[in-house]
Amino acid sequence: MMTNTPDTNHASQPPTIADARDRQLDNTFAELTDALLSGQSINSATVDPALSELLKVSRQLKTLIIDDPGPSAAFHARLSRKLTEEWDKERFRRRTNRPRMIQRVALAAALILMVGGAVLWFSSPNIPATAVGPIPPEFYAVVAVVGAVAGLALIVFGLTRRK
Amino acid sequence: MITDTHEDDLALRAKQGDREAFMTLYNLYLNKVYSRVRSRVPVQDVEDVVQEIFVAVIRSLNSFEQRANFGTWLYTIVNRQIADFYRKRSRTIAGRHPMVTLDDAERIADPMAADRDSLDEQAQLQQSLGGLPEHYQEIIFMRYVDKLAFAEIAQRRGQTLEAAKSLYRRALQALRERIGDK
Repeated sequence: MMTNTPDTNHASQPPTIADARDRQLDNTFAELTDALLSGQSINSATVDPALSELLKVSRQLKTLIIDDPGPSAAFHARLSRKLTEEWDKERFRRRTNRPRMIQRVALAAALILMVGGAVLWFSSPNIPATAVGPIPPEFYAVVAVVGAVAGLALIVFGLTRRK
Repeated sequence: MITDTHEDDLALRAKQGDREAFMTLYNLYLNKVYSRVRSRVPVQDVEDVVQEIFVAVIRSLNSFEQRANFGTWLYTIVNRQIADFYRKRSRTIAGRHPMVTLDDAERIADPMAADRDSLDEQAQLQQSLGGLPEHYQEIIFMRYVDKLAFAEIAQRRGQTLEAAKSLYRRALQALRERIGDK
């Protein structure tokens, strides 16, 4: 409804009539907005004076938001490429940046290597206590490598724990 | 037409690493996000802010909860990024003018306040819109950006049609008053 309705004095009306007037204005303004946004022309002279200022704001909003051409095709394409790159980067970061998982793997590796090293040491027929001959140099090399890897794993564990 | 449920499914798939699902959401929301940003940010900065919003979405996808509505979640990011934009701009101005206070920096960053007489209508409207309470902004965006009918707005907000129309008129009244105050 876009006819001119008389502007009445709200203050002198009992609340129920004022409420009815408010409801009428709400409905009329919603209809005016619908008409404006669907491209219909509105004759301002026929609009309720209580709504004419609001209609002006509504027209400004339409110009700012709806009449704007929106994102250009070039921007759309550029942003699509950028987001594809960003997506891949983020996936990579999530895959590699897992301190808790790295921590557990490092701890497990250290334990396995230490237990393995100990088993190797005590089960060797050439350990000094039971030695019947000289200890081969390869044995020390294996123990040194196992110790180094276990130490490295412990360092990784310690570093990731601090994060 | 893509429903909210379908959008939420897409968001969950994106969260699990499905890039196509994310790109579908991006294509669905680009225009809406662009319009929201356009209504609040100077035109020359709109593309940068829109890009930052979608990058932030990728980085935050892990925090998207199954019970959330994707649109609502996304618009929270939009509002945060717009606020960040103005915060950074204030800081940049403060850096260039080391002798001014933070309040002055905000005034300088704000083209409206810097030279009120030469304000153009759009910038004035943008600033006024940004100063409205969130529920007023939201109903304006629902009608003008998302192009929802009042009945749909009422349904989404869990209100009666009358209440939605009343809120809309109050929102426009508040906006008009803010413009009038400038």
